[in-house]
Amino acid sequence: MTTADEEYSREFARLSATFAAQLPRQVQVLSDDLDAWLLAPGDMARLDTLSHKVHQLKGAGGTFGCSGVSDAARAVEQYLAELRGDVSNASASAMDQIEAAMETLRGEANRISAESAQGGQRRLQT
Amino acid sequence: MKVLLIEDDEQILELLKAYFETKGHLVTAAGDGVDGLTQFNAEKPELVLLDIGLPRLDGWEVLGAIRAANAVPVVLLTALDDTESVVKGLAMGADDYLIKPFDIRELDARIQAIMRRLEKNADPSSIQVGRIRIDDRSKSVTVGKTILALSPKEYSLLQLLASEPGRVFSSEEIIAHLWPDNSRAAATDVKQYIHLVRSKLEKKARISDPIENIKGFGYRLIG
Repeated sequence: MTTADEEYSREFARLSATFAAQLPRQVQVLSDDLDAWLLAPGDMARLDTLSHKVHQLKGAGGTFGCSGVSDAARAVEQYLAELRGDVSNASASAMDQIEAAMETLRGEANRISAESAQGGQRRLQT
Repeated sequence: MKVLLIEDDEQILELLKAYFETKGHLVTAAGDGVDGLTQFNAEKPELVLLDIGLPRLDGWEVLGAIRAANAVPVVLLTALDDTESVVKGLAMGADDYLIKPFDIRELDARIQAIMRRLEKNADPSSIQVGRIRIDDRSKSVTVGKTILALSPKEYSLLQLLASEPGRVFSSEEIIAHLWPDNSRAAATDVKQYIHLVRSKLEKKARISDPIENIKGFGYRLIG
């Protein structure tokens, strides 16, 4: 491994830890945005912003080694796209699906954040 | 290598910056399409990494504008993973299309492949610097569709400067190149030819400040 590779590995570890630490908050913001949009489903600008944030999380998750986050974000993105056309007639199961996908995302975020914090503690102790 | 990153996700941007900087590249970053194009025109990058879902001006528009200007390698880096988007990106002239999430090692390998292809296809008898193209076989200089009429000395001077864009050439180096057998040539002669070439590039080709005078050191062509 070259010095540049080692330097990048350290940077990657630092950025990944930052990503993991921020993840629960990031998912909470998405969840709040989703709730707000469901109260005013005609607000397409809000939906666009929400979709963009979910889309970014889909891209970033696996890039930082959290493929579960990308998978869950992909599911949320897909359900949002399906709801976009006709949210007023959305079935209860569609709403359940998006809630379930958000719950998976929340679970992944909390797990990754906790694991990352434990890893950091272990590194500090050794 | 000068790399331009156009990406609105700050976390991804920081990751890419860290990667390219540790590899010794010169990185410029933009967080939206408008800033991306501004940086593209100002920095003349040798590689562009471009996201598609950008604020203010999306990646499709940015790619179109870049391709209208030149053939710099562009890699699309996006979470748009449908086949239509991949096909559209490549059809619009992107050199590669990488779907997020991505592994940085794959991105690096793809960039290396593009660079190898470019080196293999490069015509050693022609030099392209920005919009300026010098064809040594026909001894012609074109800027876009404009043909510049240069004298042999002017041509030779521009060719020297264009051989390493951004590098400062001292008056002594230029004299040695333009007048290899004439020890009487002086810095004032260099200055005169710099003025002639600069003037033609500015007036005929409408390139502003193409040759920079670095006081006390020499001259360089801005790519």
